Amino acid sequence: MRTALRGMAALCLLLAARAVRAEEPGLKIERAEGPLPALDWDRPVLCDGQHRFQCDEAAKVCRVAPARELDASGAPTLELSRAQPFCEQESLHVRALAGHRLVQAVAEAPPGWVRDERGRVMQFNFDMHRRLWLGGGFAPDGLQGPGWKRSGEAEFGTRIDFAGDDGDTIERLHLLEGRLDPGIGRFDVTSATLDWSHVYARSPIRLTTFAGKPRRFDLHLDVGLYLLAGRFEVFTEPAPQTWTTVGAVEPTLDLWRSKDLDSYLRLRAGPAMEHDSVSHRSLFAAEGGLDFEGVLDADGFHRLYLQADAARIWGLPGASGLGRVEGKAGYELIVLAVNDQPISAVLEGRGSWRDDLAFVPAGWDWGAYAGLRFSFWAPARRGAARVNEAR
Amino acid sequence: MLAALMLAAVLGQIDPCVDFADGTPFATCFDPGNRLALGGELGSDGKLSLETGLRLRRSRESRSHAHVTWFSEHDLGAGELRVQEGRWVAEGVAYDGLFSRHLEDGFLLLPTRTPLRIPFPFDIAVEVRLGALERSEDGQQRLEVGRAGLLLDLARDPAGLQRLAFGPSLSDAVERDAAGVRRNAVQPLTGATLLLREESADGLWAVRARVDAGRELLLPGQGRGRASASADVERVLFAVDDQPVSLQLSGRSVWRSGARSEVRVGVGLVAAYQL
Repeated sequence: MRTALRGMAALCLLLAARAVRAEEPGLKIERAEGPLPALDWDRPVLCDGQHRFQCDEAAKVCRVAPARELDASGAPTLELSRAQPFCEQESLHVRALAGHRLVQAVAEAPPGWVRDERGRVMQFNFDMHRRLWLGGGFAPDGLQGPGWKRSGEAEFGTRIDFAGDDGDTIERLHLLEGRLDPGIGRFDVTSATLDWSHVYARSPIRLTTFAGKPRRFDLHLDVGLYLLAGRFEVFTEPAPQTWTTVGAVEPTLDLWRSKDLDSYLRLRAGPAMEHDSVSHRSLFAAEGGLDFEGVLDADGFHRLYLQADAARIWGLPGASGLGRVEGKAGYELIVLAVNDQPISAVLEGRGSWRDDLAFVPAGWDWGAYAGLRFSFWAPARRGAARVNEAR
Repeated sequence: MLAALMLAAVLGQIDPCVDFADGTPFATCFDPGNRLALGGELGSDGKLSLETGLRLRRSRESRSHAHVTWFSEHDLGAGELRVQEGRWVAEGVAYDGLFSRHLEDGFLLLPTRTPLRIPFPFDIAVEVRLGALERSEDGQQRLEVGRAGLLLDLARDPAGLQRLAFGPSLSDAVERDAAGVRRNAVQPLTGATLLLREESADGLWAVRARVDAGRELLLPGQGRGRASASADVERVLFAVDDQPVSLQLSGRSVWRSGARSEVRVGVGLVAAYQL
C-alpha cells in the first residue's frame, strides 16, 4: 500500500514537472546581488539537460547554472569545458515545486580555474615549476670597459617538479636551461639538473651524550641531493673560451622550506669535474651555493629567486685558483595569459667574479635582465584553491 | 552481386573518400600529412635529385578541456640526394616537429581582480627542428643543430589542414666553408619563422611553404642577415593500389648578406605510401 502511494506521488510530481516544463518561463531563477556563486566542485552535481544545479536541503535553495556556455546574448552555445564529467539526472522543476528557491550560478570549475558569468572557463592559477619556457629581453652588462654595454638576450628552459603522493618528497628537474647573449658574447646552457628534497618523518642524525645522564638530541637536518650534468659556458669575447661542467654531485641542506616544498632556502656543496677549452684540461673543482625560490602567492603569479654559486678550481695554469663566484636574484610576475598559457615579466640582477677566464682579467662583472617569458603547460598548482564565484 | 552493390552503396554513404568501380572500393582522398614518400625531381640546373621523407600528423581532443585540440606534426628524415660537382651530396632535416594547441574560443586573460577576457585570434604553436643540413653552390655546408620557434597561427583550422603561423625563433648552426673554416651561427631569438600550408579536404592538392629569416651572429666573426625560403605544390595525379602519386613543383632560395643568392626550382613525381 505504502509503495503504491509512493508510486502515485512520484507520478503526480512527474506530471506536475512536465506541466511546468511546458511553461518554461514559470521556472523562476533569481539573480542574487554581487558576483554569481559557482557550483561546488567537490559536491555531486545534478542536471536536467538545460541546467546543472546543487541544492541545499536545509536552506531549501538550489544554485542553478546553465548546462552550456552562453554567447553575449545569453543563448547557449558550446558544451561546458572542464565541468565534472558526471551529473545525476534530476528535474529542476520538481525542486521548484518542492519549494526550493532557485538562484543563478555558474557551473563548477576545477581547482585553479574560474568561470565568467557566461560559463567560459579560464585558468587562474599557474604552476611555474612545471613548464617549458622561451623568452627574450634587454640585458645590459658592465664587463667590457667603463659604462654599461647594451645587449639583448634569449633564454629558454624546461622545469618539471615531481612531487610524491604523500607530499613529503619533491624532485626538481631542469632540462636544457640556458641563455644566449651575443651582445656580450656569452652562451650558457645546462643540459640537466636534478635535485631531491625530502621531509623526514624522523631525524636522520641523532646525537647521544653521556655526560651524566645519557641524553638524546635529534638533529633535524633536511638533507637532499643536487646533481648537474653538462653545463656549457661559451665566451666569445675577446677570444673564444668554453668551460664545460661535465658533472657535479652536491649534497644539499634545506635551511627553510614551505609546507608544499615549492619554496625553499638551501645550501649545497660538493665535487665537480670541469673542462677548459683553452688549457685543454679537465679539472677537479669544489662547488657550492645558496639557492632560494619563493612562490609569493597562492595562485603562483609572483615568484622570487636567488642563486649564489662559488667554485674553486684546482690545476688551472695562470690562475689564482680562486675560481669564480656568481650570483643572480630575480622576480617573475605573470602579466597575462594567452589561451591559458602564461606570459611573465622577469627582472633579474646578476654579478660575478671570476679568474678562470684566460682572456679576461679577474674582476667583477655586473649585469641585469628585463624580459618577457612565454611558458607552455604550467598547469594549476598542486593544492590550488577552489573559486566559488564567477569572475 | 546485389549484396556487393548494396554494401558499396552503404559504404559510399558512410565514407565520402571511398568510391566504387564494379562494386570494388577505391580511395579518392589522401592524407599528405601521414605518409612515407619517395620521389624524383628535375631541377632548374638540369640535374636529377631523389627525395624521401616520413611525415606523421596526429590530433587529439583534450581529455581535460572540451574545446581544445592538440596537434602534433613530425617530419622525419626529409631529405634529398643530388649530384653536385660530380658527386652525390645529401641535404635534409633529421626532425621537424610542430606542436600546436587549438582553442575554439582563444583569449587573452588579464589577471585583474575580475579577470578580463579579451578575444585572441591565434592558436599557439611550438616548432622544434633538429639537424637541418644545407649545402650551398659555393661549397659551404651548414648544419643547423637546432631551431626552436614560438609561433602564432592565424589560420586556427580545427581540422589542421590550413596553417599560417609566424613568430620568433632561436637557432644554432655550424657552418664550414669551402676552405674548411668552421664557424657557429647563432640566432638568439633574432630570427623569425613563417609557415604556410593549405590542403584540400580530399588531399589531392597541397601547398606548403616556409620562410626563415633573421640576423645571426657568426662565431668567430660579425653578424649577418640570412633568409631561406622553400615552397612545394603537390597535386595527386593517380594512385596505384590506393597509394597516391603526385606531381610536385618546388622552389628553394637562400639569401645571405655579402654572398650570392641561390634559387633552385624543380618539378618531379612523388610516390607516397599512406600511413
